[in-house]
Amino acid sequence: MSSCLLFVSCCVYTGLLRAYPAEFRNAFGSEMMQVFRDECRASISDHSLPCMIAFWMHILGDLLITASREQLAATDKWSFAVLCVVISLGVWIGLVDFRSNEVQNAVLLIVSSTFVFGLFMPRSAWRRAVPIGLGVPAIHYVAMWVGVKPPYPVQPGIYATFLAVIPALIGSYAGVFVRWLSASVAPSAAE
Amino acid sequence: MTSTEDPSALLPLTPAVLHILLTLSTGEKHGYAIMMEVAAQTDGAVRMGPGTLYGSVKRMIATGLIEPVKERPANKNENENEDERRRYYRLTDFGQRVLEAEIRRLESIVQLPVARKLLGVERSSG
Repeated sequence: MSSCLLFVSCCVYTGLLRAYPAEFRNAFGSEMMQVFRDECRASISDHSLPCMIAFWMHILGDLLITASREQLAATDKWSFAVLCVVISLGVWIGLVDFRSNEVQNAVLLIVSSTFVFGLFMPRSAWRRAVPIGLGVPAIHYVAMWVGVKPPYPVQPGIYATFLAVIPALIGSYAGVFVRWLSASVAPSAAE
Repeated sequence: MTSTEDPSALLPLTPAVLHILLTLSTGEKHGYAIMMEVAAQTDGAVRMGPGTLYGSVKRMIATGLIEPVKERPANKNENENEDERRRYYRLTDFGQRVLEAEIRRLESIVQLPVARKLLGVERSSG
């Protein structure tokens, strides 16, 4: 049982290590995995669920902070500028959605902006789409947290706002598809 | 490497870097041993995760405070617990000088409340 738990934990952590930049992962990934395995083995040997939960909370907290720091350190100026634009767009669209009872405006903005990103930056397009889509639930969550209510009677559930990620992904990969289509049509037209 | 630099340029050190330097001052160690010793010497108050440990190690190698040991330390036992693949780290001369400078800095801070009698300790009249 404990060896199975150790195996599953190691598999999960191997996946989580992808949150670090590739350069950092190549330099220290195997050592981090080894340290994780040692820590996990010690935690499992205590045979208590609270100990295992505390261990994972510690690991996830560490990963969230240090992966963000390493990603930021590995980000060049251009990527950082794109990230700032993406986050600003997400916040702006979130505010548009929060102020209006109709979702059409927000959906249109999400689809059009992610389409442009998908068209011009097709590689890992989901990385631009997801933050833009998450802008909507983020604004609703912050508003709920600070006690600001939207100017319409029926409030959407916080989980329903996560649906904004779907049009973001659709718009983004529509842009990728159009780019791919134009790239494959252009050479045949030249012939 | 910045081994010719003034050690005080890197001060103050972050708690993680200070504890790693203190741990390595007693000899070469691998990552898990560093984590265990830091936890032991702080009574569990400082618990580093793998990300904190290797993020600090990366920056410490870049600034020349520590270096990976190319050969496996001779005094390590070849038992089952010692994995061949583990990488050991050691303090550089520059790292030693930085550690000493940080300890002197912390000592001077600790002396301050004593000098001002903030801890109820009488200043020696000598």
